[in-house]
Amino acid sequence: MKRDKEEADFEHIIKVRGLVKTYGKVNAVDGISLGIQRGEVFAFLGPNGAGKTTTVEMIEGIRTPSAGSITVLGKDLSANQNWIKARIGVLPQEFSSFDNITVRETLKFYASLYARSRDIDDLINLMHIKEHTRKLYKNLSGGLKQRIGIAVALVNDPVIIFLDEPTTGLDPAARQEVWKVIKGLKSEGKTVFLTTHYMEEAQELADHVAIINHGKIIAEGSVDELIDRYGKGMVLSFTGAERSLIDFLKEAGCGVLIGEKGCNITEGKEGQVSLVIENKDQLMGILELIRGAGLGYKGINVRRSNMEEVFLSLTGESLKEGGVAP
Amino acid sequence: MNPRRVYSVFYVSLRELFRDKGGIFFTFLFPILLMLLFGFIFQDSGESSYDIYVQDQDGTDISGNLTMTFKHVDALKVHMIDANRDIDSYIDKNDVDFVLVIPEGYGVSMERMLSNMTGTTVPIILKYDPSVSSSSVKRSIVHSIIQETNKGLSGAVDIITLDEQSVVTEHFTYIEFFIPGVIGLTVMTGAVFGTIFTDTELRKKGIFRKLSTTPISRGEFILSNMIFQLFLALLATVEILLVGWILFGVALHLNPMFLAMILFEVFAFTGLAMIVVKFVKEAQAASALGNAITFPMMFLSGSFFDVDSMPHFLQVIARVLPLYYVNEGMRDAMIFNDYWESFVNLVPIAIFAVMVFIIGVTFTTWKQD
Repeated sequence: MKRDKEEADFEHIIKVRGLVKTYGKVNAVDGISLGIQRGEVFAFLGPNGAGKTTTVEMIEGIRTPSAGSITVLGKDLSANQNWIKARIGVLPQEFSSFDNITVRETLKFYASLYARSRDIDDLINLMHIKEHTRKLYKNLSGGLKQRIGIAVALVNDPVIIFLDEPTTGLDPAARQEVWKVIKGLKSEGKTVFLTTHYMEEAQELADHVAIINHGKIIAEGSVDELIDRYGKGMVLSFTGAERSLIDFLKEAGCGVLIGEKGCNITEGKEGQVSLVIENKDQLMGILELIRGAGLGYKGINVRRSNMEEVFLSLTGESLKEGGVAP
Repeated sequence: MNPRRVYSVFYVSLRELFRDKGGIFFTFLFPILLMLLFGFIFQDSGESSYDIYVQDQDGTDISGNLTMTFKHVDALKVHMIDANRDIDSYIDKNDVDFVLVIPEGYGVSMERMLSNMTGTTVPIILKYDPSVSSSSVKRSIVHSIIQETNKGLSGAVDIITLDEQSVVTEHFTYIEFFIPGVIGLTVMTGAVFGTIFTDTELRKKGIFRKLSTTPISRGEFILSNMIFQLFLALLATVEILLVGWILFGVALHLNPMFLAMILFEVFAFTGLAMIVVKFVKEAQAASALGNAITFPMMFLSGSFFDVDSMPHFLQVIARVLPLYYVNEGMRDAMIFNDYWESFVNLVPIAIFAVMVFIIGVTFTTWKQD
């Protein structure tokens, strides 16, 4: 098909160079460059107010950049807005729709705005919303509303889907539902541009992550790369630990085993305690010591360092300690 | 412009409104309440005495006596017209529907007739509008007075005769005057508040943000909203006309000029509201500003009372308000069936509508800052 051919020949499906958005004297977005590959789930991660939504809305064509260039599907955004609009699907932040319109009518309405649209029944099956099609939008649960929002973003069978904070404000079960849908999009071969301030969401879904803080990208790569680079090895945690174990960890653990990067022990409620361990040798060593001393605990868990720790190390203490931002 | 997209927005707006029971109730209840209130307050314009106008062109004692005879009848209230006025232009200008003219020479011919009983007297001219309901009552009163007078003068011959001429006057009752006013103000408030509500609501819900990522243009959306408001305006108009007809027996002229008036009024006030929302983004503030615009306009533009009866400086203000031209034009079309006068009032409204539409499309945008 002509459309597919037109969209095919370029390296990055979205290419952003030196993007700036200025409000008064403040650069909300301060020289961002990005390259997103076809078919990947890209997570744009950052705290509230970091500039995520401003950036993504410039790429969607809702806001006009103060400087920089945006290329979508190989075409310059400013000169090809309508062509690009027909090929992207957007779930805006805090999306909501017409209250007294049913789910099916909502999908039909948005589909009618496009010259080319996807079969509505197909879409309803894909999103598993068949039993909800006759409900009014206002009567849907939060998670379902977001699913309808994503379905609306798919009505034109877009090549790229932008999801701006799709799970903010949802309970854990609803969040899982939305994640399932996003994984489904990936398996359909769609490119997904996701903004989120949930580290675990990026970790769960993304092939490619960029971390933004104060309008600048401070780290970029795959989840594994970022954890390897900025994470802190492993986290060992105990539940139901005796007081003597906690004290032992604070003394022996800190004094002997974990030297170079400083001691990182967090004590939680009711005998919960976790400590950062750099390598397997340290892990085995500390476990031997605990067994030898006969210290008691109810549960034990070892996991790899996660994006939460990556971000902390990027923006929190480690930044002050000498900086790791590229 | 893509008609399919314009229709889609129109259809969704319609669905949205008609599933909102509260919204639909108040949209269509408001004009009826107004009509009932004002209609019944002013309905009792039942006359306890009948107004007639008399012009004494003769100016003799004899004609003076005749005038006095009329003045002594309790049922009549006699208004004198200056003898020098041109009677036809006076009738036209003042919408007078019942006039007796005692022509020059009446006294002389009467004297001659009474002294030698020959010749004829100059007839008294009665100009009246037969379509006015009170005319028949007044005519029978006048006839019986002249008959009595003739009896007293001669007993047999009709010395005083009447030359009856019918005239067409622009007469109307308060409710007839009020119905075009109710239509004008209902259409105005509907367009202003409908647009303010839609715009602030869709902005708050992020629907504008969403729409701006789809191929629909702001112009298509605005046109669609205007068609939607026009549709509601026409429904409200039909409702008002039906209630007026059923409760008050009012049947007005329904012509193309009256429809054109509604069309441009909707476009003018929808456009105005769009511009208001551009500057005041919060729903409550926008509503307050909407009230500040519509409320004084209702009272100053002659929706309830004739502008001519207001103090002069208020009349000057009225003439810069768009609703004034709507009211005037609507009445010219609906009461008087006067296409030309109605057109004269349509022109300023049409210019205003085109201006705000252009400003609305040019200066309001979905783009975020």
